[in-house]
Amino acid sequence: MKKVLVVEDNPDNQDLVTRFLRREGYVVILAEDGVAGIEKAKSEIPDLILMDLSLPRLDGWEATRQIKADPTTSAIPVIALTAHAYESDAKKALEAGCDAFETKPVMYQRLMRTIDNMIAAATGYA
Amino acid sequence: MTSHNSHFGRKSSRAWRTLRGRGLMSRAVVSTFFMFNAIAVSLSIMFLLAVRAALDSQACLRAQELTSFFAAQSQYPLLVADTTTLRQIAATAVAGEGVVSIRIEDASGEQTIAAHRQSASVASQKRSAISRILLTRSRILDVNRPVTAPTQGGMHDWESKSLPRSNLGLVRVEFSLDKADELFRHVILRAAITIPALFIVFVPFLYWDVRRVLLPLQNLIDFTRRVGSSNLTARATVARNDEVGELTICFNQMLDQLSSTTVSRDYVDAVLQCMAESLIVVDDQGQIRTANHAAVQMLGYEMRELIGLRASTIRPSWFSAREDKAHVQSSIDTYHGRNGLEIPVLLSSSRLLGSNLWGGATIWLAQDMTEIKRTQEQLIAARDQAEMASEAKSRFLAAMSHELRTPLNAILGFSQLLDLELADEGLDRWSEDIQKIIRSGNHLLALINDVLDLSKVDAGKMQLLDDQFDIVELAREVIEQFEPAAAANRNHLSLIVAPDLARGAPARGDRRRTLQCLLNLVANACKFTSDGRVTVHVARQIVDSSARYDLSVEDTGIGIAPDDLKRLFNEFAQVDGSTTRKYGGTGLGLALSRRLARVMGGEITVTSSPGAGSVFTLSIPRVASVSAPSHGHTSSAECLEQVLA
Repeated sequence: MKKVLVVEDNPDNQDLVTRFLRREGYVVILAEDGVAGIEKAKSEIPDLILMDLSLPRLDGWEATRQIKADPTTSAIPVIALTAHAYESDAKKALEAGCDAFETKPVMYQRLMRTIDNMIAAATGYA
Repeated sequence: MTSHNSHFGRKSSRAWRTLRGRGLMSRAVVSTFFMFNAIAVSLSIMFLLAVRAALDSQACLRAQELTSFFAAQSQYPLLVADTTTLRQIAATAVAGEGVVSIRIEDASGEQTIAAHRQSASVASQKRSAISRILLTRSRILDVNRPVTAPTQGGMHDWESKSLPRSNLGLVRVEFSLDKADELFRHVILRAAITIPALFIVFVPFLYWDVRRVLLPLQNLIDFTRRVGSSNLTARATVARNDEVGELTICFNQMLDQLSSTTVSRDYVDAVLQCMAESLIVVDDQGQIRTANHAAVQMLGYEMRELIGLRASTIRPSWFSAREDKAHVQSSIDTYHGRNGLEIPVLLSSSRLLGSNLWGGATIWLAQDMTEIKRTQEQLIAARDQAEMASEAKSRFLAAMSHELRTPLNAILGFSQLLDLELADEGLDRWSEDIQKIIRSGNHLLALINDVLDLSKVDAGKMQLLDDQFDIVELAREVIEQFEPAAAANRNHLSLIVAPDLARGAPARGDRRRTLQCLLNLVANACKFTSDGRVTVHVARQIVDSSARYDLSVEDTGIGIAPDDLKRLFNEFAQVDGSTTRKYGGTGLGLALSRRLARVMGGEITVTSSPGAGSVFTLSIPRVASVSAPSHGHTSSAECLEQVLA
């Protein structure tokens, strides 16, 4: 069972993504903000992280940077999932260390395909 | 008399006075006059002397002839000593004109007969008053003639002369030369009348002639004076074909030469006073020497106050002329006008080269920057405001995008989830309704994306990427993506690549935006065509020596009426409202695609006729920096390697 950490502050979005992932058989761990996201990443070592970017306490860009800077978590693929849909936002996210960039509204098929590809690539890599 | 004539008259009389004052005229007149006089007097004297000599010799000849005659008459009376006859002869003689007295002597000198004219004194009294003044004394000619014996046989004169015995006596006649003198006096009198009369005629002529010769010279002098004091543009009139005319021509030529090399002071002054910039010349003692009208206006001083003013009064930043450089220096400075008025100026200063005036000077040329500065400040403020507004708009759009996506995420996400979960339960009763929600949500999302893209293009903030890609691959990707949509309308979708692009069509630019444009065109073609063909042609064109790719999307669909073609690329310009309902689409696709194409240096064009289908052509430049056709393949290979790794 693959573990996916969802860092998301909006309860509706948490619910939506959790139910999407569970339908595909993933174990979902939730974090409400950037700080909690980093902690959960370290303690749980998930197979993938879905990172919202606008987050309380510590934003998604900084949290990703710290996760990618920490050797224990740096191998975990991070997908930015955000309503910031500009090219500049995507560029910023990729610069912070995100491995992929997905915009909201979430498209079920596309998101799942991306997650599958990322986990496959990460495990193959490992 | 016309005004022109009177003007000319004044002018010439003035010229005349000047000439007389200079003495050239008077000298010419006087010297000519005296020369004429000398010649006339000399000629007169010579003539009179000749006349007198002629008169005298005539009188002398007559006297000799008369004496000889009397001597001949006296021969026989003397020979026979007939005193009575001798007396008659003497009486006859003194009665003759001009004879004053006669004296007949015999050879011994004892017998003498003499006679005197009685009226001699009366005749002399009769002489005219002028004659008396000129010749107070009567002249007497005394002629002696010996009386010889009458010649007999072949006796020769010289023999008679040589023989003293033949000498009978002597006739001595005194002639008065009064008659000759009287005639001579008449000649003198006539000459005395004629010569002054000639002078009276001659002098005005002389005066007129000299004046005629000298007047053009004086006019030239006046003209020269005018030229010297004012401009060099005037030319003297060449009135005559003589030396003065030649002098005038030479003078005009000299003026031509001068005016081509020299600028008159009037001209320089006019230029200085007309200049919009303030001009001030400062000497090395720091005093203002020259100022123009603009300087007076700018500084608020009177011209007479400004001349002689300390230069540092109006330009406190200036200390001494030693700082001034020979070449022109420009700076922003401040002039201080009257009442402490500060004027920002753009100042150009330079040493006054080639002039030793005032022991060296500097020229300051200043342009009032007050207005410019104010305008500049306004412009900066306006620009800042515009930038702020633009920034605010961008921030607003970004925020709007984010805020619209968040609820849309829930709408679309839960609709998808609901559809999936209901399907899991086998409850497909609401599936159609849920699909409608999803379609509307997607439509709304497409609108949001298009509106944002449009506003980015309009704000000039569309960021284009610099990708290397292959146009044919891109077209193939679009075809593959639309095969299901084409099949839904029973269309045949195909790709035709020009033969010269069979080995690939490398391009450089924003791949995603190019794809977006082509997707839009193919989507439209598939939407408005059913039971027909949609063909994408890829070809290469050379336009103005630069390569372009033409991606033509040809369909056999409903086509577009000529009137609708005009507004086809406007926002929300679908041919009529019902079209949107029937065919879908945001109504922004073509407008956005064309703008994107143009931002990328390309264009979208269309040809269509209703019922016969349409051809939309996306033409984009192939950036020249992609040189090797293999380059695209190499990068594809690299990508492949990365993926495989």
